[in-house]
Amino acid sequence: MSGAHLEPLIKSRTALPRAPKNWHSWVLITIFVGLIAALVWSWLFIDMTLSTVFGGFSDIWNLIQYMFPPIFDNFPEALRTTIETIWMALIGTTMAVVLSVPLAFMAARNTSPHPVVMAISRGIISLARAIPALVLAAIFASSVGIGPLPGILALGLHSIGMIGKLFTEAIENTEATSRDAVLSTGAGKWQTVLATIVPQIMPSSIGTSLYRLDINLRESAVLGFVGAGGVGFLIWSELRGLDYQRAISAVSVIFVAITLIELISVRLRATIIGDHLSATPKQTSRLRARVARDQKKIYVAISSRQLTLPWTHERVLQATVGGTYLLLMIVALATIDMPLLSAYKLGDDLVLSIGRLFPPDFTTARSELIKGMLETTAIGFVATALGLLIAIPLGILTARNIIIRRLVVTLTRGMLLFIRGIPELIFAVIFVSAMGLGPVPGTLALAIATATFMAKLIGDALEEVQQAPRDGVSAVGASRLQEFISAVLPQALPNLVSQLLYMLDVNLRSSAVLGIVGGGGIGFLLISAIRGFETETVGAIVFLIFVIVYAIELLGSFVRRIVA
Amino acid sequence: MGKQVSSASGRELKKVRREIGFVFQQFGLVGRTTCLENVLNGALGRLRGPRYGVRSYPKKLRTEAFDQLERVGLANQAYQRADTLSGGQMQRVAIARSLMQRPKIMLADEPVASLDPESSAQVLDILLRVSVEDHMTVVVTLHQVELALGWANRIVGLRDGKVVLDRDASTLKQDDVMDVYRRVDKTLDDGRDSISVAASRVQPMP
Repeated sequence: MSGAHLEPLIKSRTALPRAPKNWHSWVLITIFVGLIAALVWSWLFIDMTLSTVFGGFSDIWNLIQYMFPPIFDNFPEALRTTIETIWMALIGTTMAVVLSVPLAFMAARNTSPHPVVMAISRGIISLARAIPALVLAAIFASSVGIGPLPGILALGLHSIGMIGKLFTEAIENTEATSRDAVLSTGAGKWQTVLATIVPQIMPSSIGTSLYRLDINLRESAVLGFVGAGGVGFLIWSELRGLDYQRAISAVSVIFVAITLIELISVRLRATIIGDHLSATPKQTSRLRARVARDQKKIYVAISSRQLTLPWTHERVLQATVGGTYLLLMIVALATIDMPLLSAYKLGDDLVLSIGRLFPPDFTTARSELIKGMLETTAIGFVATALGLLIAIPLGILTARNIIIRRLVVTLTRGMLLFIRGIPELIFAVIFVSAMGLGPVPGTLALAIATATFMAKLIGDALEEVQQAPRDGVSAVGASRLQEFISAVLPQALPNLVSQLLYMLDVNLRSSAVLGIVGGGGIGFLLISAIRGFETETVGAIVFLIFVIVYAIELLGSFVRRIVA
Repeated sequence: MGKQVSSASGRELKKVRREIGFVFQQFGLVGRTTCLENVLNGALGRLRGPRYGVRSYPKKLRTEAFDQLERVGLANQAYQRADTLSGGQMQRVAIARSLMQRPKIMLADEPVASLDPESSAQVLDILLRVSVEDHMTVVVTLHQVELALGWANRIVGLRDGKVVLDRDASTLKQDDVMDVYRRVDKTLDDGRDSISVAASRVQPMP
């Protein structure tokens, strides 16, 4: 901004000065008002009243009482299918990583061989992200047959959307000097990429893959709802048979698996990315001892001119994790119940089942299509807003730098982890069983999932704020609340706004599949079209979901650019 | 070598790059890998196919890389991650990497601009030593006149790409060189960085 804006302020001391507004703030205000209007419209559209919500909660409470005491005689079957669920997530994530690596190098600005290749790769990544895994699973289940295979394919293709995107960003964020330096020695392009870019992106890529494995485990727990293998089928059939005591026992098995694996994955990610923020003094002293041991090993290796790297702690850790992963993959591939299709036949089936979606048919089910898409959008908006409302207090309670009492933080985090252990679609099934078909139970289920996820994001964003401005505000005598409002919030806000838009985009995709379990939206039409082999209507639905999700994503990146 | 670098492409450009060692102001090491691997990267032009990790290089090259690290006095740091080193040490590893490509000539662009005086002296010592030991011309661009006078045996002053000074270092006094700078101060007032003193140790050009 130029000084012209400021001049009048200095001249007229009597008038209260006002911050001059630039076009950025007007655009943001317009978007904000637009989102609020969309929210009000959505609220009215799905006809959600406070009495339906509270009546719903009492219905849910009644149903929960039916679930106890759980009957565990289905335990062997629940365990078997839970293990199958884990293998599906592992194989699916691996498949996505393998496909994402070349795509990311073709999509990254600094390694792409050609702008056209770059645009196509980015398009594939966006497309993969926009189609929910459950939709892909339902489509593949009808073409390659029921079982874990369609589930693995669905996870493998859909996860490219996130993994490919984050890999691309990691490649683009590498620094260029070392690349230029190695190129200047006469190394080839791919030699240089492997020598300079790969070491730089390694930790973040492993972190991304582990994080996606977490998400995919949750996802694969419900793929059985559409016949794509795993524990979902068992849960689904027990809930449908109103056998709630057995359903809850199956849910608790997968719940334990999801929570355990999330805990392991968080630990591993912290080790790989090197998060020493939460290290206690005891851990620090152990760390020092380890560094000393490593130094000694290195010294011995050098003085004897050893030509291989010594086994430092880091290398032992890497080898152990890598070895465990390989072992698990071998077990997974050997034990999973998958038809031995040739790659050729499989590719054929996939191309065929995707080809059948064309040309998309928007006319046959026109009115249901419009109503379903509107309802899906409305559910997405209301669930995001409701989730945010619940998430704000919870998120503040999980920020270690704001809440002084460790116990409060630990309890809140534990509760969030507990709820996150149950996939949102399982919430949706239970709520639908309690409250009947319709958008309200779906919205509530999605709101709960949003709340737990947003609370974590809010907590993380708050923990990242800098301490200095807070100390400054406290030093002039502000109260804790004043300090929070004027020193913490402004720092965390841009991050939170972009996270909220990301959440909206996630929820629009999730609400597209709620209908599969009767939770309202386009999903109902989608699953009946898949079951009735109306593949061209399926194509139309997939297209519409893609358009809406992509529009929100564009809006999100636009807002991020302005806010940043 | 008699080739036009700006018009060379593909295989030819790679060959030209192999023959010219280049030392960067910002070192250009891969921070997360060990010094040994960074030095080994210098041998990529001689190898076929991509490499990842120290083990993927032949044993003979690993020994050679150790030797080059020894020459720059950092063999003890061979298995240290490059981002744990000081700036001066990083630049010495970068020189070892350049030596690893067995260049015919070495160019160093402001190699000591971001280093303290002691590290600068070490780096220039090493450059001088390798030029003598390997019978190789080393061209160094420098802004510090005293350093150029102290280490170079031929000094070339450049302004706007034109040679304004070219003398044997032993016949040159500090004032003569400073004069070049002073004149520049008068003619250039946009702060453009267009003068450099190229200090080269001349061994007969091959």
